[in-house]
Amino acid sequence: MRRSFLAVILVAAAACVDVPDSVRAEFAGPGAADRSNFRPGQHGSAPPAEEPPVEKAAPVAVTGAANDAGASSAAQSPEDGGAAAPEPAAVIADGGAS
Amino acid sequence: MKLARLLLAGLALGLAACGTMSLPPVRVLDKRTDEAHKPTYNGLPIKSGQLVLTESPDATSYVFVLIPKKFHAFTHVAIISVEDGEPWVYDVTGEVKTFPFKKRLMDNVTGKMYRRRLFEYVAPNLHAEIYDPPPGADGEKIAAYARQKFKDGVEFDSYFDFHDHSKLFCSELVALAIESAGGGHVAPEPSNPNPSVVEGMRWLGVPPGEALPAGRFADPARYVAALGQFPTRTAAWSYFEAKHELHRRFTMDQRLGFLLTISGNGQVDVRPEISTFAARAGHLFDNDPNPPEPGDPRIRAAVRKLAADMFGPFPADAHAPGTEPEPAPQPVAAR
Repeated sequence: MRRSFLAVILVAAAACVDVPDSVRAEFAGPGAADRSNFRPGQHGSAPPAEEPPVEKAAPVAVTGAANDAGASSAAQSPEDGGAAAPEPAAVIADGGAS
Repeated sequence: MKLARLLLAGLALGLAACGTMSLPPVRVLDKRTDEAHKPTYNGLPIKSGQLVLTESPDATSYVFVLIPKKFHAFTHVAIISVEDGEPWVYDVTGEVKTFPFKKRLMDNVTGKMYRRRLFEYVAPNLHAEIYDPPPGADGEKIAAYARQKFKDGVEFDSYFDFHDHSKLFCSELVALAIESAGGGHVAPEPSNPNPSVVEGMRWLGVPPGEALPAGRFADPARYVAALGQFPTRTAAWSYFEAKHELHRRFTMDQRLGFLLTISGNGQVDVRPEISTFAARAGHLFDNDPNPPEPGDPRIRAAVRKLAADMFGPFPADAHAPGTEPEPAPQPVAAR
């Protein structure tokens, strides 16, 4: 019988593989300046409904007032944004190295 | 050499989309019965050559959904072969092999074809649906192809190369079986151009640019039956619509880390607000006396409203870059 996926992950977790910093950076949580479309709370940083579909720029190149407002409100509201407070990329990178 | 606790075993197997874990007993949620679909097994209209699509309960299913440019439900696909009156399921799947581990992640993934009873196969999954094969494909020939590959001992292709059939991954097996049975060629489709997804695929060694998601074989017109852990098919497809909404919101500036987390030892998991969103979506119609059927625009409208409530508004006509705009959902009727 096939081994369970959970067992696979557990076994895999004990392994060491080469994980470049560039990959770990992709798993960094959203920072205050990032326009995440998944930030918790009703004051998330997703663009307002009247805004046209976004053709994207670089992840941190957020300068629009609306975007800044959204990101700030989420970051400053522990009751709705604090649960998913982003981890600094550097912490994640450090956590992966051992 | 940089050493890190394996963070992407889930991602690696996520691409395989082939995982299982123990879950409660399977229940039959729904079945289609008509002149062409008469019950053959436990009340289900099962025939050789039908396809079983499953959704893994693992966090990695949230990775799978981001790989193709276009959204698809389900994480895995397999083939039914009725033998002496009992349906068996053939699939090819991968797992992380035992020590020694290799530096290159996907070199640690190995696998083969399996043959299991239908309910045994479905049990570890969150949801499963059975579909007829495409028009023109002979179901008996599809099943025969799967049996032959099982007999041949074909290996799992951990690098998901659709153009080299010496090893196979799950949807590649099904595509080849359908083609061998006269059902036409099933080609890969574009993968997600999101830079974060591309970076992940490049690191894994999986060719960026194309994907063959299991959900390609879930044609509503060929639907046969649904089984799994959800109480209703409406709940299951509300959950899938939540995954669809995550895909839609994963625009070019979004990173994998907006949905996924990495623990101290590098294991990948889903951010709690993301899994909560999907779970809540599955309950949107729990108290609806007239719940919508899958495909009813009320499901999309309700899920998008939930997403707006949890994550903030998002343009109704927005869609992942490079994909076709989707029809706007109809207003949810007050009930």
